[in-house]
Amino acid sequence: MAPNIRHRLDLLRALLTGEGLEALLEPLAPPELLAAHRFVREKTVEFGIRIRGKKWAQDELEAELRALGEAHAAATCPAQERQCHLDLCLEGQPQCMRKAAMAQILAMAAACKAYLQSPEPPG
Amino acid sequence: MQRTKDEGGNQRAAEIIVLGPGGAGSRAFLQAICPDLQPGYGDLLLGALSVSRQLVLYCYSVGYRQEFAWDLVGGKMLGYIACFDWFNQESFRQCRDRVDEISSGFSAPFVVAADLGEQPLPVPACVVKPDIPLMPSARFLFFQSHKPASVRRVLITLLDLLLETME
Repeated sequence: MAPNIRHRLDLLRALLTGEGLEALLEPLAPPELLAAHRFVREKTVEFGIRIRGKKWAQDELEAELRALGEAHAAATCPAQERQCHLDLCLEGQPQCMRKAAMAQILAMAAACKAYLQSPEPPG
Repeated sequence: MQRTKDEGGNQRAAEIIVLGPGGAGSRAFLQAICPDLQPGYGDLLLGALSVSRQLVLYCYSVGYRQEFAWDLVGGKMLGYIACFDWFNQESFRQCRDRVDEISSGFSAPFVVAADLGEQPLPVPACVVKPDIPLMPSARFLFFQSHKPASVRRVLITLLDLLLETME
């Protein structure tokens, strides 16, 4: 499911202004939240590349998302997986998936904010 | 606005809709694109840009709240441009809701353009230039409504998008 243009505009504006995304994400149904996750990920990668060019390390973002997924899975996964699989959990564990997706979206929004506020990597 | 035919044969017309808050802002936007402007019903403005003797681009400026015969003309539009004031939350909401409504009914490409007025870009230019893809048939960009070249850039973005969606 792709987020509709309404959600995309809300998310993009929030990413560009650095406003919190929580209020936008709360009302979304699990499939919409998953679609929002994909859109925010796409924009985070796009902003990272556009702002920092070759200096942008996608590995760092992926590692942060992986760490969040592992911590969430370790704490709450009913299937005792070691890593969150958002797509796979949409049907079976939508509420658990919601929490994991929210945490990852907020982490990506924070990364976007950091890119926008500090176009050059520190050091 | 009457469509004309040159003596050489049929004239082809392309039509786009410029959605905006209406009033002076919409007039300024259309004036930057179309030298020939005529008022229509309510906030509606009609503009024509002759690309050549055989091709004319017709632009309709429609206010967010303007009643419009979407069911009759919406489907034949070449594309849509939706403008809002970046610093006005209510303007954004109205634009977003209208874009959501229209894009669910028609498949033509959309350009959503955020007017900065006299203000500078709120983010590094490299992030938003030339534009930000929203979806395969929609783009987002910033512009300054008082600068004709900036307004024309919005139109060019829509034309670029049309070419991309044709590929």
